[in-house]
Amino acid sequence: MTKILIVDDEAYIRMLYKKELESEGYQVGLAATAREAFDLLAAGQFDIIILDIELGDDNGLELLNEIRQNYRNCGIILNSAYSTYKADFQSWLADAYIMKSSNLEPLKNKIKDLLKKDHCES
Amino acid sequence: MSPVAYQQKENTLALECFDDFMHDNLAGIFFVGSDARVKKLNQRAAEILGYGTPSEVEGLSLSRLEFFFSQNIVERLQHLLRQEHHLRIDCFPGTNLKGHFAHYSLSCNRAHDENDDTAGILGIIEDVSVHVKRQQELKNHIDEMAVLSQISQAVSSALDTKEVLEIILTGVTASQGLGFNRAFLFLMDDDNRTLVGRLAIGPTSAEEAGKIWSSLADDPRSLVELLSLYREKSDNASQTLTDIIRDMRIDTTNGSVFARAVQEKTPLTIEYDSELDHISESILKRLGEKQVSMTPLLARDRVIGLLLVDNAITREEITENDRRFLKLIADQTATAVERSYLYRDLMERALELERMNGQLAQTQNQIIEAEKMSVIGEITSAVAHELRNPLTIIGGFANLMNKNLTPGSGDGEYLNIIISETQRAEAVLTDVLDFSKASKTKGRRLDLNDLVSRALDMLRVRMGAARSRISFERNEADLPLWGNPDQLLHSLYQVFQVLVQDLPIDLPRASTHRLGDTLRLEVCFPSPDKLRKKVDNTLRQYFGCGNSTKRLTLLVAEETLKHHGGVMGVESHPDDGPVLFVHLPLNEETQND
Repeated sequence: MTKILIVDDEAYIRMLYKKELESEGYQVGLAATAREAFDLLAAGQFDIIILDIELGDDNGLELLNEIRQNYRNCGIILNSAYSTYKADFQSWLADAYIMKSSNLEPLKNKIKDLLKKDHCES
Repeated sequence: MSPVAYQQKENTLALECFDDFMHDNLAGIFFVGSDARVKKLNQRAAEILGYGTPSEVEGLSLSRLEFFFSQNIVERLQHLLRQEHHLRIDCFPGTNLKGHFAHYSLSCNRAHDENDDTAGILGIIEDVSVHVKRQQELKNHIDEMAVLSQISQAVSSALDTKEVLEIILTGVTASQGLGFNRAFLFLMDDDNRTLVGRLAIGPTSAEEAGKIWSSLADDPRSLVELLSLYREKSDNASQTLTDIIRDMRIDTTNGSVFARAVQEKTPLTIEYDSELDHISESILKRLGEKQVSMTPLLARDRVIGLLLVDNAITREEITENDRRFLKLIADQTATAVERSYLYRDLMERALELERMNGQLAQTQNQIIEAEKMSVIGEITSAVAHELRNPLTIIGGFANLMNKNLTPGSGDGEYLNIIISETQRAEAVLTDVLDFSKASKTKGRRLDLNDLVSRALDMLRVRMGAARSRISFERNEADLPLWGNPDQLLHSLYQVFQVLVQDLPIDLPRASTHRLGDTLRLEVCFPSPDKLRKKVDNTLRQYFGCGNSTKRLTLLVAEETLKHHGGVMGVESHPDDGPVLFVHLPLNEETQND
């Protein structure tokens, strides 16, 4: 089963994504901080990470950099309320950049795209 | 020696001394006896009276000398013999026996004998013509100075070039001034080295002169009054005379007398004769006069014009004294004209400075506005981001609930309302975020055509070519303006987006124009008559006082345009239907970012 890690400091966002993605048949892990994210990554392998950028005291882009160095095979989707980070070159390490929206279809489509791409490459 | 003999000797000595005094004196001295006959006179006195020797006069009665002294003076001399003691006449005109005319002074005293009886009149007569002439010259100079002073005083309060010229020419032609019949003024066009006819004052015919001069005689005015009333005096005759020279151009590089006066910077008088060059001849013919005196106007050794005068009506000859006086006036005219030029330049610079100050104030306001917009942009950005998360959560859960809802449940309708309204709020947030992003960009010089093209390109990319069919016509190549490129681009994009999304029109036509200091973008809607009212209503709802999400989007665009000194609105044309217009200020100057 595909495992997806959601990293977001907003509890309701985490809850919403978990419900939605589980209903799609994914196994979902949740992290509110960078530390929690690393703990979960160390404990088990994830196929996709959905990463918020403004994570309270943590910086999502720095977290992206570290994950990319240690978990090269994970697909990473940056998911932010801000479009401005698209212009930040650090965000280019991610596989996709999706703006937060009540319509989760774009996010779910991107997950499928990444999984398909992964499958083809493997 | 006896007292009588002593007295006789003394008398003899006195008579000898008197003879010597008379002989050597440069003045004419004469003695008239109590019988009113000339007893004795010196050679000078005989010469003054026009005789060869004193003996020709001695013995003549005073009445025989009336031809010289006049009857009045002779009577006064006869009266002196009887009553008065002294007679003095400082200046009287006299014509002597030889017909020589001169001015003389006369000083006489009654002489007494030893018995204190009247012995006669002792008189001194002198030719004072030189003094009189000098006095007259002095008076002329004083009069000239007075005229100059009066003209100078009148000119000092005038700053406009035409006003200065009218005052000067009035002074030149007024009988209380220089008294020339007509005066013409040419000013130098430095670019072409050409004298250009500018102003003339004086009558065009003897009849007109008669009318003008008789009216002035009926209502005599001083020169000061005339100069102060020059505006009222600007009559048709002067206008007609000015018309004669208005289109005249005199080349100062050819060999005409006029050119020579300019090149040599010297006053000249020309008369029509067979040896006159043909250019000067044709100018004289045009002026209708045979003798003209001209004086260059010199300001700091540079010729700035030429003053011409004539006596076309009275035919009086222009004398050397007239020319000298004219030169004085010309020098003063040159100074006054140059001062008026300086004043004109000063006024132009003052206006330019005022304009620049206005522009500076406008730029300052724009900077303040830009700062305000920047702050507003940052605040809206922060608020919008804070709102996006809750909207995502509300809409996301609504979607989730809607998916899990039992078919036919009544709650589905409410969930759909929540979902659609959330999406609409998210769309507004996207617009606001785009705007706040644009607020961070600084202003620069832009081109309206370029902005419109880019906004339409964006529309095609985002909405697809099929839905964004707005044609664009550039009527002028260069339509410069100053502003924030992102903000303006975003605003125009929003306007176009509303137009293609919500109006039942296939092909709106956009075009750009320059209207004075304003740039105009207009969008026409070539709608059929039955749709025209609907288009008009829709436009007025969106761009007038409507209340909808679109209106909110357009509010941001409208505020952005206002911030750039622009305005947006709708016009109804009876033939062409409604027109949406956007006006932005033209700005051709380069400003610092």
